[in-house]
Amino acid sequence: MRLLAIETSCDETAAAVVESDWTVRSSVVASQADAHARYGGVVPELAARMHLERLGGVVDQALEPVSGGLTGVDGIAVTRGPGLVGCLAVGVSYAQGLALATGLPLVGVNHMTGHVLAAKLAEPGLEPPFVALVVSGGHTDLIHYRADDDVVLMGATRDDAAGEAFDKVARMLGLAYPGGPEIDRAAGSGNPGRYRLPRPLLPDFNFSFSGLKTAVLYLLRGLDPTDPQVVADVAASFRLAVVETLVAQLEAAAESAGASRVVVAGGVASNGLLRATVRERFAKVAEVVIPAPSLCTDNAAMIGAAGLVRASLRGFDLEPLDADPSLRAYAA
Amino acid sequence: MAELVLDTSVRGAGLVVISEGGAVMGHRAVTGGVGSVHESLRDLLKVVPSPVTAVLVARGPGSYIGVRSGLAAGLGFAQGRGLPIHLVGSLQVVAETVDPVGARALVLRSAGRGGLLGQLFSATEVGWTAVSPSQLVSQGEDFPPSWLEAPGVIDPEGVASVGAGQRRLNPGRGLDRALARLAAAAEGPGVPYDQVSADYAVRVGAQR
Ligand SMILES: [Zn+2]
Repeated sequence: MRLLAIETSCDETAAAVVESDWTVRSSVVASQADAHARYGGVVPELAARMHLERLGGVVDQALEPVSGGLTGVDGIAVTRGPGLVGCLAVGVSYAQGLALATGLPLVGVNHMTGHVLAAKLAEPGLEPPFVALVVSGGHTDLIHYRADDDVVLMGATRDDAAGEAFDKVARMLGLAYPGGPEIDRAAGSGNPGRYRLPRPLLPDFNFSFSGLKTAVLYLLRGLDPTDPQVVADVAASFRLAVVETLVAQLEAAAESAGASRVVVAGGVASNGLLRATVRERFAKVAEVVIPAPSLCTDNAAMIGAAGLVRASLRGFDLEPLDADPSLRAYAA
Repeated sequence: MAELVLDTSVRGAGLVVISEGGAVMGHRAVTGGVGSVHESLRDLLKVVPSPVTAVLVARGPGSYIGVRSGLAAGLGFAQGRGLPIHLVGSLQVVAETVDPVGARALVLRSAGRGGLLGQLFSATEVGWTAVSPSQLVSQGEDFPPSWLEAPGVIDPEGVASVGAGQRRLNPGRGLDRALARLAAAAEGPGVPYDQVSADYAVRVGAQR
């Protein structure tokens, strides 16, 4: 089985072709980050407009390596939620038009399940059960993926998602949006031990980053934020605090679930320090799967992977799909 | 030879039409969310025997989700079959419900929340031609002077009262027939698949 996958839930217009042996034939991502950067965050109306303008070209490009183009695929997978309503409407409607035109079956996919199942593309041998830390601009979740139709949310953020905290602290430091890569860059020349920031560890594997964010705000009041070394040291100290918090909760969750496999996924999983720290801490206790950075940030290959799993579990969708902006994360 | 026409720019009252040479072969209302565009289109394709050879979509202005869903569905369908896709302004569709008479007409439609969408058209032998961009007047804002000077007003929803010297032009045909006529007039290769875009209407208040 070969799926054409489409992802438009936020600010990346993406299409990919994925095979049932988990090979990614193509993965095309047209990022809108530059367009949103001057507003300091994603502008929903602008995002929907750009998806519409780019989707046709992105899909054509994704189909290039497939002989016969659309006639060479067996089905279409599309993100149906959660995400921005106008953005999801563009992707779902487009996929439905394409499906009606070609007679190809359609499968609607949960974006967050897509993030987790990107791990199958990185490690096709990965089978449940496993514990996954999913960290992105909108989510910081710990899940126990017991089977493809049995996913338990163990913990989540009570306030800001980790990616959101990166964006907000980047703004405090005068760095650009999106904040994750900017803080990473600044932290490269910083001393992570210079400032001691809190590691907020909530019970039940939950997270809270608002206190940490406030701690950075107070810290900066006594410092000169125009001094590049101060920026670098604060960035490095903040990044370390976030990573140590994430990893500590992942360790606790994995131990509680008795997991021998852990997955780290979502846009923040492209962070080099997080990847290295997880690999180091779990080296002796569990198999670690962290997809390549291009499969961690929003992409359509992950939607293809989740589409393959969902289609094999429940078949394709027989009734028209609706975009569902508030679809519960990891729901089938 | 048939053309697929989508106008989902009116919230809760969109239309899918299959037309042939300006005649309506079949139509379905689109009254729900994104899934309902698909449902209406699927049902209509089942009952219309002719193969679709082109797609025409109303590009707004209008309902935020409706316009985007219709454009995206039309694009997906056109691209999936390698058909040309044509775009038409949503207020042009409303204009086309009236035979071109007089010199100029202002087309008005509700924009929701007390706002109004308007566009000026000039009558020609082949139909109405837009002579202004589509404009959005928010509640409490003044109409642009050019709106008050148009001799004819096409306002099927009755959203505004006509001024002195203006007269209402009443629709002589339904939106489905207007769409079918516009489909027949749309010729050529259409818009490239990577240049399909919505009309957002110019905000009059913001211009001042
Ligand atoms: Zn995401």
